[in-house]
Amino acid sequence: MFKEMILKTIKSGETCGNSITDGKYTCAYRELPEIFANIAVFFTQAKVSPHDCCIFRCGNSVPEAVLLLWMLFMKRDFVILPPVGKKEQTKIERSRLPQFCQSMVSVDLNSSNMDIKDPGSYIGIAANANFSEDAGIPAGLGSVFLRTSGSTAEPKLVEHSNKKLTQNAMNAAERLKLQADDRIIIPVPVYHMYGLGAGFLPGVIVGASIDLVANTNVIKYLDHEKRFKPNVSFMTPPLCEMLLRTRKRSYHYRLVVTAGDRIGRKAFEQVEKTFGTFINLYGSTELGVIATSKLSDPLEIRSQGIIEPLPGVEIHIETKDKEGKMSEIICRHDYGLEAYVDKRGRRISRDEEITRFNTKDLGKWMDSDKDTFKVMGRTGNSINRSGILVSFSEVESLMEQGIDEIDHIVVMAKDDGVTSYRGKKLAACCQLKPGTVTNEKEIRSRCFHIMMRHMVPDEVVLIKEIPRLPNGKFDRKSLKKRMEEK
Amino acid sequence: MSEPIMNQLKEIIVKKLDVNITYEDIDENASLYEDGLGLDSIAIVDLIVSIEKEFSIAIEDDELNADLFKSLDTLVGFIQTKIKKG
Repeated sequence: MFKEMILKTIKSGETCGNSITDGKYTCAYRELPEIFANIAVFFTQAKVSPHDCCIFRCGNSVPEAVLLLWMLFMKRDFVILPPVGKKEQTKIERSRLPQFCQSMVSVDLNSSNMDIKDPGSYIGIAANANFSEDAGIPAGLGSVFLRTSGSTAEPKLVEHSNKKLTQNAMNAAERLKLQADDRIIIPVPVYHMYGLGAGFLPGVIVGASIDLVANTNVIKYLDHEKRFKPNVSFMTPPLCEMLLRTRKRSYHYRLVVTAGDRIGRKAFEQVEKTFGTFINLYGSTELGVIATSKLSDPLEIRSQGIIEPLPGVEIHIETKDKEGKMSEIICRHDYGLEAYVDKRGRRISRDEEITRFNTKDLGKWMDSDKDTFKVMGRTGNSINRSGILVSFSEVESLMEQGIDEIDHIVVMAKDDGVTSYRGKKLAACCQLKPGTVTNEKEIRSRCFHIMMRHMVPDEVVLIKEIPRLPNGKFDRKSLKKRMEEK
Repeated sequence: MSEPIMNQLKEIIVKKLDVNITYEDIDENASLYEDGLGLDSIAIVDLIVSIEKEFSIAIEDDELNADLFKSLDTLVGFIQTKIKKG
């Protein structure tokens, strides 16, 4: 399936001259057949059987992207993992490596004689120390395994078929109206579904020019932007926010896509003003792209996070009790995962789990025809108050929109053993905009005017700066600890 | 002129950025990134915003490049030029 799509890109006169770049190396689509042939010879010489499932350490560089495309083109089975960094060298990370993969494939980006057409100059193949003879997967299905984040438990491997992964990417390309003359910048990792299934593969399928940015920071992003002159970008909310803080001039994109955490309405509008049409994309490692804002919707609708499922996706949100009440989003996706697999290669999911997939996200229908919906937060990030489910992200959104002085906000349950009469205590940690003056009491009293009573936080705490994780997301865990010690 | 700028810059890093760096940790010739002072993406943005505020200068998009942060010395030189240009 993927093979046919990439052959189209390689052969078409309209796209064969377009290229993939990373700022250092560049490869035109028309060069791929020769490189693919050389990689095939290299793998044969290295005695890697076509039926071996490999671990592929894949970052955002041209040599890695080319190898990734070859693996998909050849319908090989592989597990895609991040390049080796400090974390990957730890004992625990090594012990988590899949046992059903015999070899580990990586790219040496510091190779002194790197020649993109000579795979021997950059591809390294080593034995997987964790390989176990008696572990295994059904060979030769062209499965691509992605790893879940593992933030709450041992990470699981998610198996996608070559065919459905391609269909998922085609679906995304169609929705985002990607085309051959687009110049797509991808500052998010291609070893994650967002970078791979929403950005990179759809871009390749339409034959667009692609710029890959590794280990993105604002400076690096601006460097790439200046040089590559993209018109489509796949960002994250923290990157959007950092760009808004530093850049002086607006730069017009045809389309800027964001995924992940909710982005506040005000920031959303500011991004649109600075960069151009801005849309939300909702997806997951398991299902690929599920829904996006409608490109034709006005800013007013898109900035509220209202999204529409892609073709082939059926969303179920139970609304039997009250109109608009939120509950978990359950999704049937024609192009979603095949199964969850453990590190020994055993399928650990039941079929009904896959066909009716519990996203663990809370959703709410936004129109009576149930065509559009809104993701309200994770099921874990909500509590029951006065018998009604309150999503932290909804309270955050209301406070951010309704109280001008608030710059950033994190709402959480406070486990101090004391429950308010409404149920578990709700606390809001607010970081004010520089130069603004207000106090905790004042903010709380204003909450009564902008939200239902059961949503009003029991406690408002002003903090100088909300702690963040290295990836820019709010560090809810350390904030919670800080709040509990208070 | 460069010494007061260097001192002010160090003060920003130690006091304004949440990076757990002391005056003694700062090597004026080391890179500000992971391979030197270890400032991450957010800390670099905080640094840019603080420099603009403290020195009353505006760093344009075109001026933001990786070379600017290759050492504190480079950054001091840049700030000095911006101040002179007024």
